[in-house]
Amino acid sequence: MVLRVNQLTKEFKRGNTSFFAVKNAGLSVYPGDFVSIIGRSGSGKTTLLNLIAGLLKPTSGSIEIGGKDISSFNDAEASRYRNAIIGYVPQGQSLLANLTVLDNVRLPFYFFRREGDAAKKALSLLEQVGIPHLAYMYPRQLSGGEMRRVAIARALINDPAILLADEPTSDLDVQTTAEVMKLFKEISLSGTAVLMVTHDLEAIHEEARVFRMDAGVLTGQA
Amino acid sequence: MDDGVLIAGSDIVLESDHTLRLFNCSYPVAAQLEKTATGLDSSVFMNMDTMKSLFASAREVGINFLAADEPGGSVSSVLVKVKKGHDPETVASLIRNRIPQVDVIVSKSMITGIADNLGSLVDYIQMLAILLWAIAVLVLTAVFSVTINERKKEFAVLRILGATRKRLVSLVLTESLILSAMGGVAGTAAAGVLVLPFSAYIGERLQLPYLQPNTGVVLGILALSLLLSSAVGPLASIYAAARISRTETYLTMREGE
Repeated sequence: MVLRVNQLTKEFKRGNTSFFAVKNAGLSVYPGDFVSIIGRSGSGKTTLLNLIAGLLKPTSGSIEIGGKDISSFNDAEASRYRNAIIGYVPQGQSLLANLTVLDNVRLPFYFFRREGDAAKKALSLLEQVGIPHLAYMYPRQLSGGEMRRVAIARALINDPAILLADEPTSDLDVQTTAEVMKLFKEISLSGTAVLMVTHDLEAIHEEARVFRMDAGVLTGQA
Repeated sequence: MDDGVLIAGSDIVLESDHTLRLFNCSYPVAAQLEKTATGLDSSVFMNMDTMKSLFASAREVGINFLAADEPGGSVSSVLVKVKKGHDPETVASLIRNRIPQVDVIVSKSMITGIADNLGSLVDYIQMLAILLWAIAVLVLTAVFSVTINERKKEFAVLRILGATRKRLVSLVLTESLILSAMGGVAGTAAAGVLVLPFSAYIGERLQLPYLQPNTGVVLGILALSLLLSSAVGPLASIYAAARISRTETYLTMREGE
């Protein structure tokens, strides 16, 4: 098992009232799994993803990766975990504008000491996502779909166990959405689990395990 | 000092063979003094016998630059060098008592006026420099705060990719150090280009002697200037760095939605 989310709850306070963004969520993800969580805006999908990525601390419950509960990690441990175990594709444009596509892809490689040729690996990933010819372009020269592919390649640079994608198709057309979904499926088939959240029903791959999220409550396969 | 030999001030132009020609006579110059930016720079020093010889040469060409016929009778000042261990003020007091018609000036009091003026000027310049430095830190604190705020999403992306809070702080401080060090290098280079060639003009405008410090002091001042200017950036960006490291990534990414 790659990921085990158990009785996960996140409570926020807004003024004097509190509410549950995630309530008693449970989820297991296996190697090569392709999981989609659908839900309306504000249903708690992104919060769940941020909890799994170690960007937020849960109010209660546990998130286990490789038998370790990441909610007890300090900042350095959580950062290392995010860098090595998780590949994260944020919502919207998330590339650094002053770096080339190649530099954007290999950037996470340098955050911690590693062996290997980052440039060679980044080029190979760009080939895998179908845009090797854009390696030396800057983000401003790319289309929305191309930028998303670069973000996916960047998320894969450290061979993560699981790829998290937050609304990866929110600003893409139907054809590009289908291409990105196909890419996610290929990634999952190569052994890296994919967990994406979306409100776009068209972005659901037919072979994905689908969960629904509503008012912070995660329900089994939709 | 030997007979017939001169010591020249820094502004005296010598012959190529290191001599000075006065009233058709050529005199070897034993040494030329460092610049003082005072009248001493255009003076020539010699012993009394050489002075008599020079006076005679001048008279031969029809110039009589002393009122008295005999140079020995036209002495305007005598330099008294006090032996080590003796108090110049006591010696001055004794001379005043024994030769009442002579004015006695102790060397320290000769330069006190200049020293006081220079001291005041240096004090003002130092205060101005400290004030400007403090203003630079304050202005840059505001500038860094605004620019880092504009780059919030970039830092949030770095956090998502695995950058620790410590790394973000280090990134901001390093960037600001590089920027301020570049500014420091440019500033000290510009100061060197302006001050060194125009030192005489500056002295003239200030109406004060301008003494060029020796190489060691100049290098020390340059190093201190570079150090202080390089420190401005990191000092000014501490607040912005601390703030960006505390920012919650998920909130920043949500702002960008």
